[in-house]
Amino acid sequence: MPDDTTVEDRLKAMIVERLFLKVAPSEIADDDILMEKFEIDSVRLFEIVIGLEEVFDISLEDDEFSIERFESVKAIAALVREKLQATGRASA
Amino acid sequence: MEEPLYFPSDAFRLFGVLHLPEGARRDCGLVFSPPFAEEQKQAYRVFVELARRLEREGFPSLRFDYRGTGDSEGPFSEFSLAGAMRDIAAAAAFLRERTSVSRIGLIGLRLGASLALQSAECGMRNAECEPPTTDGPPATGRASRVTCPSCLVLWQPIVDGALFHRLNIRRMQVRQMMTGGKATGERATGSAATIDLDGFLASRAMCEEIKALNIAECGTRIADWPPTLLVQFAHTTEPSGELKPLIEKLGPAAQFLPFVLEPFWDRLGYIDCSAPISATAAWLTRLPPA
Repeated sequence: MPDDTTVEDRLKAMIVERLFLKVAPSEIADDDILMEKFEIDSVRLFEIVIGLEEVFDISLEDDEFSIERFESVKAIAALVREKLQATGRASA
Repeated sequence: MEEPLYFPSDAFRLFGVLHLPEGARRDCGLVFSPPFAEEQKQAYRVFVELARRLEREGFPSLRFDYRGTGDSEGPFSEFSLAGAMRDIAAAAAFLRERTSVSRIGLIGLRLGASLALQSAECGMRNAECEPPTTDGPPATGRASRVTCPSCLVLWQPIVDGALFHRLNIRRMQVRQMMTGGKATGERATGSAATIDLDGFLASRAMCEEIKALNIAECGTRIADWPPTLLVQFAHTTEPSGELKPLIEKLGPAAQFLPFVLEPFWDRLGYIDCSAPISATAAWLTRLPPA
């Protein structure tokens, strides 16, 4: 993926890919409530957690596992940026 | 015909289901090595469907539960990789005895695939060797010897045990978050004697044993490796980063067969596995006789 893609773009691509969603990444709005719109249960959320750790090379801590941090692409992107900044890595 | 039964492995009685074809029977029996914990639960029905399909193709087979799991004897804390390998050897010996087949193949999924591969490696390196010993109860019952399988079917094996352990911890944290709003998991496991893996109380020793697993690490290729089918379930047909080193290690003896399918052992909903079941049956029926 080109370097100018945003964290949100990469997250949407990862979510579509790992959850085998039948939508294009661009059809996911940043503010969509993922659990409502895509019927995301605990195993699918688990897949998202694993995916974002893999794609962004980050590792989540216990206190970062709270529902509101995973409710939308916008919320997850904020968490990712926080983690990247904490390790001195920039993000789009 | 399906026969539920118990058979011995060390001091344990293991539960199994023996599949015996009604008509012409092939001279190759197949032992199913199941996955671990939650993945075993989710994958149960697919193993049943695969065994029934193979039965129709003339293959006798044995599905079973490792010691400490399912309907087999022993608490879950008795589960160990070494013990599970001894159980695979016992299942193979029992199937050979009951059906008089001259060849045994192993079919494994996830951790079961890793253990099947390790069993084969143990058998190949020493022709016929003792399975690894366990720290469990004394082996007062029957202990079987590992012999090299005539073929291997590996459905999405776990290559890196440390990564698999991390996935199990993440699954626990997500479950805690979904039920309680936040996770308390990983820190709380730091000094605990057991870790609650979605209802399976795993001992510290069990987790350490799993973390140490690395089936791509065992070095050089082995000559005369048995025919191997390596099946991948992923969103792409490209080999995953985890499977690549294993493909490299197995070399030309292994056929890589990717399916764009969700990991059914990790899903709550129904996943249609008829394509990998048919492909596996077709591959097994094409194998030349001994």
